[in-house]
This record gives sequence, structure tokens and C-alpha cells, in this order.
Amino acid sequence: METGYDILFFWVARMIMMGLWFTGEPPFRLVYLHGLVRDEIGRKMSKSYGNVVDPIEVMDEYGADPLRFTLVTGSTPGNDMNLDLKRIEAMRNFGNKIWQMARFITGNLGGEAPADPSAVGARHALPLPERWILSRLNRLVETVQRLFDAFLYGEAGRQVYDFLWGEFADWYIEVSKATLYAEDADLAAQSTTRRVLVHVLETCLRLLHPFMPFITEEAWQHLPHAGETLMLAPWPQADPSRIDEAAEAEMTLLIDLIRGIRNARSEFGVEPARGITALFRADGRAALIEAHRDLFTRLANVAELRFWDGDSDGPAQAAAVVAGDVTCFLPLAGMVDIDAERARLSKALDDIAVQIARTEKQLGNADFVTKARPEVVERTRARLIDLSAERDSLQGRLKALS
Amino acid sequence: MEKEEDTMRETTTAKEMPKTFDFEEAEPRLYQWWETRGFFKPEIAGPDAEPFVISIPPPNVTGALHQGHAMFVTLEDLMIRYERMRGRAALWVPGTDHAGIATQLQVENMLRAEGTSRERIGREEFLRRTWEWKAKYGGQITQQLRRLGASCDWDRERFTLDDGLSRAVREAFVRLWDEGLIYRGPRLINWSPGLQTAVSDLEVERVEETATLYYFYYPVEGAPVQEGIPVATTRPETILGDTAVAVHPEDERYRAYIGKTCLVPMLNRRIPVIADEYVDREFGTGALKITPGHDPADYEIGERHGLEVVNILNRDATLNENAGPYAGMDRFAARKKLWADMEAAGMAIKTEPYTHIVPVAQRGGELIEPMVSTQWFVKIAPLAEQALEAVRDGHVRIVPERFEKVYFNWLENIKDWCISRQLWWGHRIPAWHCAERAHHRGARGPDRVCDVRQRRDRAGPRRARHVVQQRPVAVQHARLARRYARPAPLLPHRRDGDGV
Repeated sequence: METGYDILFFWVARMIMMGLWFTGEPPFRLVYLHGLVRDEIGRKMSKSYGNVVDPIEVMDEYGADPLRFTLVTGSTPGNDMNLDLKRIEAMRNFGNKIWQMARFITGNLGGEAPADPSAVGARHALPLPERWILSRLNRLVETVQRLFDAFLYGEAGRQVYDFLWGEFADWYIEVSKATLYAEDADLAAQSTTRRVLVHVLETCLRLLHPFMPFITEEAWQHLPHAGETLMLAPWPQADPSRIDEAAEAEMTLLIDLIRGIRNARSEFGVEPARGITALFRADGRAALIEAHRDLFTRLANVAELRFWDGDSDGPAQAAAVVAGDVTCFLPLAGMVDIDAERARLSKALDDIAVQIARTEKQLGNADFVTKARPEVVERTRARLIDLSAERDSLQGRLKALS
Repeated sequence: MEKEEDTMRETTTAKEMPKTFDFEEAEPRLYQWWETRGFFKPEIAGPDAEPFVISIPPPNVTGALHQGHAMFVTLEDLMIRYERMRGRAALWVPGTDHAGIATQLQVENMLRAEGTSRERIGREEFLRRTWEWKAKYGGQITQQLRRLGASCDWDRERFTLDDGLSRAVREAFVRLWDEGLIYRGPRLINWSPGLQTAVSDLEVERVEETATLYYFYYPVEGAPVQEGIPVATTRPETILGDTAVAVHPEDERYRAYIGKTCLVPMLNRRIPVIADEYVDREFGTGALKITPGHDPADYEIGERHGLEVVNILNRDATLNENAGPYAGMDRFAARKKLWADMEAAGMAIKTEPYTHIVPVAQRGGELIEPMVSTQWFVKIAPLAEQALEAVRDGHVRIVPERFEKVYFNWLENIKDWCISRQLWWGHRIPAWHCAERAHHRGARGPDRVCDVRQRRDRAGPRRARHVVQQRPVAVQHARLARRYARPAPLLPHRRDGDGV
């Protein structure tokens, strides 16, 4: 029995009483109770508030899947949830993202349609990105199973969301392009990558089908698959032999470094087309970085990758990115016009100092703190914290330039 | 790593996917395909599959989809699809609730628009019209469930007034009757005099009203009028139904009166002065007149103190014979007349304007009169005991677990269950009135004999001493058509009948 906690007495308890009395058996073994759906600020939906979000209107605009995914991932058993249209929109975007993934994969199969894409060969024979994403996938399947066993469907949906978007789309698909688009195509490697792409997405579509039945079925029909319908495809089982700690650690290191370099580029306003220099102090990880040079080139536009064996502080006038035991120095001379950047940062620091002073004065005013609405005071406090953080960041960058 | 035997086949993937997912086009197409291919049926899992069944908490047949529906449909469909993919024979049984109150209101509105009414066309015609209405509009909610993707087995759809379910309701009633667990008793209901019907709590709204608070001396037996107990009321006419005056046990002002006798103004009926901690010393004069027949709070006090319940109203809100000289008058006319008489008798103290909350009918806004009426109840204690045990010993598990405490608390303090309603649209209580012995009895049909021992011997000849009257009580007491409050809980098992 699955129902809202508000009818535990009206229905559930009476069904148990009657069932036991007339048949000697309870009518069900399990009662799962969900909470009420409230508006985005937690009020009960009612015509008099004018805050009713009509599910039919939502489905007209976004379809059934985003509404379903929002309701499940926004709630936990027995607790009320607040329904925000912005979240439904975000879940619609997730659906679009899934569709784009499927489109990318089907568009890059090169006429190949592996009947059993999970047959990708032994772990040790695979390149690092493939070992990594398969390990992550099997961990995901394991986690989702654990959460389903505990009836935590919302968290399970969030896990699949994070994996598909944050790991598979943002990283594996990007990395796979190197193999798929390589000019001196290694046919066997391409085939492996295609299989992995299909296998990971197909597995995730199976995990997501109970949440979003329509888009998953339609995308699945476009992917290579076995069977007539996703509805009756077997629920994924984790393969523990695919869990690969070493691959996860290595790939995580590479991702953290690339992300760090990207962040530094955007912090210093480096235009995307400009190739930069990266100097790695990598010790035991040098071979790993060397082997994945192309990732840094393609994903962070590192034009020149070298290893740094000098001072542990690195070269002067360089930004530093740290991940695990690896440090990557980015000489700023190649990234920005140092004088102009220093002037810009100084000006920005002056501006922010003025704003900080003004905000501090306001919060120092007893009248404001006691008489203004609490949420206004709270907002002002939060703003001061943000401003201070920004000042620290600007100061750090200015220091790097000196 | 690449296996030679892997077949590379041409698939739909050969043609490019559309740029975006066109849900408007795809959702109905996919749903229809799933349904017509029989994927929603448990049989698709094969004969050896372990069953997994959810019975839908049936939405009202009058309903339009709201987020509460969307939530349960999403979660239940998720569970069903998951178990189906795990290879279980997953069955989600859909259905709708006849929703007595809501549906009857809809049809009554329609009749009113036609210039007629339920009472005018009579029960049979009313039911015919309601079934007609259901056939026309009842499908909306199930269409909306489909839009959400609900993978129900629609061939097994049920309606709570289906023959099978109705039979089960009658069976349950008769068994409970035979076991001595059903009885009739008084209960305060919300009476709508204009509509000539009882209405449920759900149909009563509470609105603010500017009224008059009337202060007067409640005469004490053997004392001059001016030494009576000062009392205030907004409804003087209910004085005629008073069966006690209550004061707080620790109120110094009135302690001396406790145990004495008061006289109902103008009627001189003798009623006791009682002490009850419910009385708010700060409100009004600090003393209360108690009218169990026409006020819910007073009804409870009356139960605590074993007070008599006097009904002073006819069903059209005129006063009945219990109102003595005021019998036959409208409630508001009687209010004026009685107050004038009390003023003349020197009992009136003063009146003042007063704003308070009154119950009005959701439809029409008419003032609701709480009134006592005879209803049917199930003695619930023995049933509750088993239900408590089932959760305590883990036969039924509640997720999240904290609701088990709520469940225990409710069942440990449960009151007898009122199973009757004053509605035409719904299951009728399968009880017949035996004219010869002048008693009621529950039975599977009107042709059953009165004697329970003989009636149970269904294979044998009917050795009836007398046959029960061929009319349900509901007809005999025409103003009180009855039905089960919640028929579905009476039939929790196998709505489906095939044991899946």
C-alpha cells in the first residue's frame, strides 16, 4: 500500500482491521507513506491562495516525465515537499540533456550497433577513462539498489542525475570525443568507446525508466538494445568486478586538475582560444599526466605541458592548482597582460572595499538591525560575507601577479 | 576485446534522432503501444513469477487531477515499473471511488440547474441520473492517470459500486452483524434544514458572524428569579433543549449551586447544575447552559455526565413538541418570542453585540443546525486489537517507521466507527426491519429469514418463523438513507479475484 500519510487512519488502518478480521491476513505487508505537496514556500495549495500548480497544465507545458521526476526527487518518505516550477524546468532540462546524450551516441556509432554493448572486454585491457566510467557506473547501480531497498527513491533519482550529467556527460563523453574523432583512427579503441557509451547510457535509461517512463523508452528505442521495450528490460545489476579503485583515483586526479586549470582560466579572464602553459610538479604521477596529455590539451586548452622540477613554490608570477599530491603551475605571463590585470584587480578591490564599508556601517546601525524586517537584515549579513570572500579572492590573485 | 561473434545489426539508430524529444507526440503514442501490447499485465512476466500487487487508493470518480494524485501515481508507478523490470508479476489495480458526498452534490447541482431536486425526482430516478452522470464524466480522472504514465492493468479496473464490491460490503456488514459488532446509536450530525439533509463535516464551513449575546438568569428551583445563575447564549431558542447548567468546579461564584436544580425557562423542566472543568470561567458569565441535542461541545459534556438529550427541532428547523408552547414556530421566530417572554418574566439581564464563528452549509451558506440522529456503528475494539498486533509483530511494516507510533496511538484510542451517511448515492446498509418483532437485522438480502440460526443453514429448507420485511430500514426511515462511510476498506483483498 502506497498513499499519503494523511489517510493513514481513514483508509490504511481500516483496511488492516477489516482485512485481518475477515481473512485472518493483513491486506498488505508494506505501507509506504508520502507527504503532502505544498507550494514553493511551503503553503498548502488552495484556490483561495491562488497558488495551485495544476498538474495538467504542467504536463501540457513540460510533459509528464519532468513532473514525475520533480515529485520523486523533491521528496522524502513521509515528509511534505514544496513544489517549485523552477525545479520542474530544471528536470525538463535534464530530460533534454539525456536526449542530447542519446543523440550524440547514436550519431557517432559509425554504423556499428553492438548487440551486447556490455561486452567491452576485460578490465585490465581497457583505457583509463573506460575503466573509470564503468567503475562509476557499477557503483551507481549498487547505490541505487541500496537506496531502492530502503525506499529512498528520491535520493536514488538524484544519484542517477548527478552521475549522468556530472560524470558521464561532462567528462566521459567529452573524453570519448578524442577517440571517436581521432584522425589516425584506432578502430578497436573506437569500437570499445562506442560500446561503453551505449552501455552506460542504456543502463542509466533502465535505472531512470521507473522515474521517467516516456523519454527513457523513446531514447532507448533509438539506442542499440535487446528486447522489445524498456519497460520489460531487466533491472540493472551491479558487476563488482568492474569496481576499480585505482582507475577512479587516477581519473579523479585528472579531472580535478583539468577543472582547476579551467577555473584559473576563467578567474583570470583568459579567452577560450588562447593556449596556455602548464607546469606540473607531479612526482609519482608524472607518467599518468604524460599519458593523458591530450586531455589537458583538448579540455583545458593547455598548449604546452611540461614538468617542473624546480622550487616547490613554483615559478614567480604563476597561479597554482593543487589536486592530491600534484601541483600545476600556470605562468600568468602567458595568460594575461600582467600590468593591465594588476590595475584591473586593484580597481576592483577599491570598489569592493567601498561596498564592504557601506554594508558594515549599515549592520553597525542598531536602528537598522532591530527595526528592519529580519529577512532584510539576514540578506545584508549574507551579502557582507559574499563581499569579503570576493575581496579575499581578488587579493589572492593580485598577490599572484606581484 | 572485440568479439567476432558480436552481431552488428542495422537498427533504428541508423536514422538520425530528432533534435528534441517531442513529448506531446510521443507520450500518448508510447502509452497506447504499451497498453495494447499488454505490457501492463502481470501475465507478461510468465507463470512462475512472484506477484507484486498494488491496489490504487481510488481517486474520486468526480475528481480532477491534483498534485496529491500526481504524487501517488508517480510513486506507485515507479514501484510497479521497478518490480516489473525485476521480473515480478507486477499488477497495479486501478479503480475509482464513487465518492458519495462529492458525486451526489454534483448531481444535485445539475438537478437544481434543471429546476428540480433530488427529493422531487425520488431515489430511483436520482440514482439513474447519477449513474448517467458517472458514465459521462467519470472517465476524466482515469484519463488523467494515463497521462502521467500509470501502468495500470485497465482490464481489471474497479468502481466501488461494482456488483462484486457491493456484495463484499454486504457480506462484511452481515458478518459483523452476526458477530454482534454492529449497533445503532445516537450521534450529533450537521443538519441543513433548507436542503433537508445531513451534511458531512467536509461540507460545513465556519464563517464569522455578528450576532447578539443574550444574558439571563437561569432560574434555580426554590429561589427568586434574580437569584438564578447568570448565563449567556447566542441561541436563546436552544434553552428549550437544555438538560443541565454547568459551572467550573473551582469557581467560587457558583460553587454553592453545584448539585442544585434549575428550571428551564417557560417550560419549568427540572435540570441539574453540574461541575465540569471544560467550562471557561473567563467567558461570558462563567456559567454555561448545556444543550446536548444541538451543540457538539455540549454533546460531549452530556456524554460525560450521562445527561438526557432533548431534540427540539423538526427537520425543517421549526420547533417540535419538546418546545412546548413554541412548537411549530420557526427557530428564529421562536428565539424572539422566547426572549420577549423571558424579559416579561424578569429573567433577561441584557443583550450585547457579539462576533463569533458559526457553521454554515458550503452550498447556499445556510446556517447549520447540529442535531442528534440515530446512526450505525461498528464496535471497533476487537478489530483494532488485531490491527495493532499486526504492526507490532512486524506482519505489516510502515515506512517511514515513525508513523507506526502515530498508528498505535490512534488505534489505542479509537472510537466506535460510524458507518452510516445520509446519502442516496452509495452502498445501502443491508439491514431490514422486522415488522413482526419490531427489530432490525442485517441480512444479505430481503428474502432472508429473521432467525439467524436458520438463516445460516443455507443449504437446508427455510424454516422461517417469519420473514423480514422486504424493505430496507433506509426506506422505512425515508429521511435517513444510509450507506457505508468507506466501503473500500471493507474489501482490502483481491479486488481482482484472481489471486495475483
